[in-house]
Amino acid sequence: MDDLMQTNRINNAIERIKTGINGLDNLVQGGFPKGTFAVVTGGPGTGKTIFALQFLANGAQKYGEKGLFITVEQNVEDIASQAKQFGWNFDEMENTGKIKIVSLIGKQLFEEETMDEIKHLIQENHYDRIVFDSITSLLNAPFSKYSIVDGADRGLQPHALSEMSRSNVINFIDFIKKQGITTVGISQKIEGMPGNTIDNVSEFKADGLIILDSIEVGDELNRTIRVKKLRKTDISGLTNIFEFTPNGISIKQKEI
Amino acid sequence: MSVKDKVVTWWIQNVILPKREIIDRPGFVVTTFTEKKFKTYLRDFFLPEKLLEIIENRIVQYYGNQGRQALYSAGKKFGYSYCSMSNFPNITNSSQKELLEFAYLFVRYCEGTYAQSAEHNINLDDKVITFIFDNYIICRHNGLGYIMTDGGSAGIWAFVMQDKTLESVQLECQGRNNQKCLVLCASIEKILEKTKTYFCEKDLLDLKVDNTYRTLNQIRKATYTKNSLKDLLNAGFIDFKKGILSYKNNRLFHCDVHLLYLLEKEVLKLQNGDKVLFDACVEYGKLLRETYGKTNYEKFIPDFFSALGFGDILVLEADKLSISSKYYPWTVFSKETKYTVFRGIMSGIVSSSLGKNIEFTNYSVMVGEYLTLSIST
Repeated sequence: MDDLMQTNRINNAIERIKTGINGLDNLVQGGFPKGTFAVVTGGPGTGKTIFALQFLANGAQKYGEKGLFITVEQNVEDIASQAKQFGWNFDEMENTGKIKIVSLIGKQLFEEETMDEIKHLIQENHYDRIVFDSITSLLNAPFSKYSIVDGADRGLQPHALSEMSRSNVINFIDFIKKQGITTVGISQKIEGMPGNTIDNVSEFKADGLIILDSIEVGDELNRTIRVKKLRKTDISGLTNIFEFTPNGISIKQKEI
Repeated sequence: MSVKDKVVTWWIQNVILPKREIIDRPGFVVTTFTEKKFKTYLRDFFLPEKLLEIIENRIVQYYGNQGRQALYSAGKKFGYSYCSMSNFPNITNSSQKELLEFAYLFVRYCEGTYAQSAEHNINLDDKVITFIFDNYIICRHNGLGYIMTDGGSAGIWAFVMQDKTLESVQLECQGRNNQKCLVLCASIEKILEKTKTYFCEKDLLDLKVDNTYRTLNQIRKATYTKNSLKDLLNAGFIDFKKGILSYKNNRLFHCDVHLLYLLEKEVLKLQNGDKVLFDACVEYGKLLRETYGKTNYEKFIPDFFSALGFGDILVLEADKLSISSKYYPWTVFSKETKYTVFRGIMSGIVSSSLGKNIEFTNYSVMVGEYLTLSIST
């Protein structure tokens, strides 16, 4: 009983940000702890971007929270159009200043100039929620001076480049966490490869890890979601089933 | 959560008795434990209850008492060899207290796999154990239960008491309109006090896990299939409620792979037994196909059967249709059987899907570092 009371006290002291995704907040004691950096990972077509869009749309529409979507994968129109499929009018939300979509297609994310631009954008605009799509883009090349020097000293061997990429991910997550903004970073899971993220770093560095998957039997396909890690939160770690509804992702409660 | 559900949850979370159950590797369902510094992998299947129900019905229908005896023998041999392979405690190497504890745990295991509830009464001095099961597999549907209910129980009890003359009878059965299933495992003398109808089987094998078994059944990475049993559970294809696993309301149960091998060996002794068993499995395959209701058998077969422990399965359509299973479970009986059950099920699924009679009559077995089974039309 004492343990339960203590757990409740700790839980009550943590400010939580509701995702608004049907069924998810129940799995994470009401929402992500404020300032959480959660990685959402999965294979192609598992619903990572939709998860992220729903997280931002719900913030803006249901909770009056300002959101930023940074993408290096798609252009602004594609993102807005994808959101519209689920009834989230990002154009309107952007016009009213609730959401900003920034596409960095064509830009070299590893260049310090680009990273400075991102940091400036985040620091100057007081966002409550951020989506970063995707963490994989940080792996392309180094932006950390320390790592460049470190790599150069070693003659920029492949493993040094790999270390620099890891360092990029770590530095970026550290920067975001210092801002105290609740963030969803999208990563990829590669079938047959070890680990839950292609970078193999973000899942350890981030506060949360959410894995999306799809399983097929014959012609049937079911989708699954698992909150594998979320700091300051008592989670079951069980895998749940979800489906895409006209209003976005909806998680079914597990019956055992 | 009720105590019962805690028990089954505990089970599904991978602990069976003091062992561990691996259900997250495509192609494999494996009980693993360390014995004498060796990691031992006991290969298991999750079998559809309906399959055994149809097999029992057809064998008894064709062969009467001779068929009943064959089914009972298969079940008893299976129960005994399963205990032996698993190195279960027995009267010669354990104290009475240890045996009673084991019996308690084993009955809990039965609750998680074979029945909705189970109780037992044990008398070690008289070598008597009775089980009362509710919603036990197979017998509650067909009123038979010669393989698992009678034979399986007899084999387990014979091993625990190290007495091959102990037999088993099902005195009451839900499939015969009794309220519960009541199974008595005891000596013939004790059984005769209750009924004059019983079967005997004393040719029981003390199978052990050796290096060959370990090597050939070692868990390996599947290349053709993606799904494990855990994947299907997580994704809701296989349901787990109140201790019962089911696929589209068709119950699945957990058993050591020796069951299919021993069943086939016994049935093949019957005249034309291979044909009767094959046809029964075709009947089940057709039923399964109607259950999943789609025509994409090329995908369904590997997606589903690899998760049930049948190996890494590939369906190939070239000059003739063939199905190959890499890492198909190996036992010492692998060269003595015709893989009739597997061939029959596949024939039923494909026949129903294509709307014409397809029979996988040919099979070949390659044993190198693992067993590869190939069947073709």
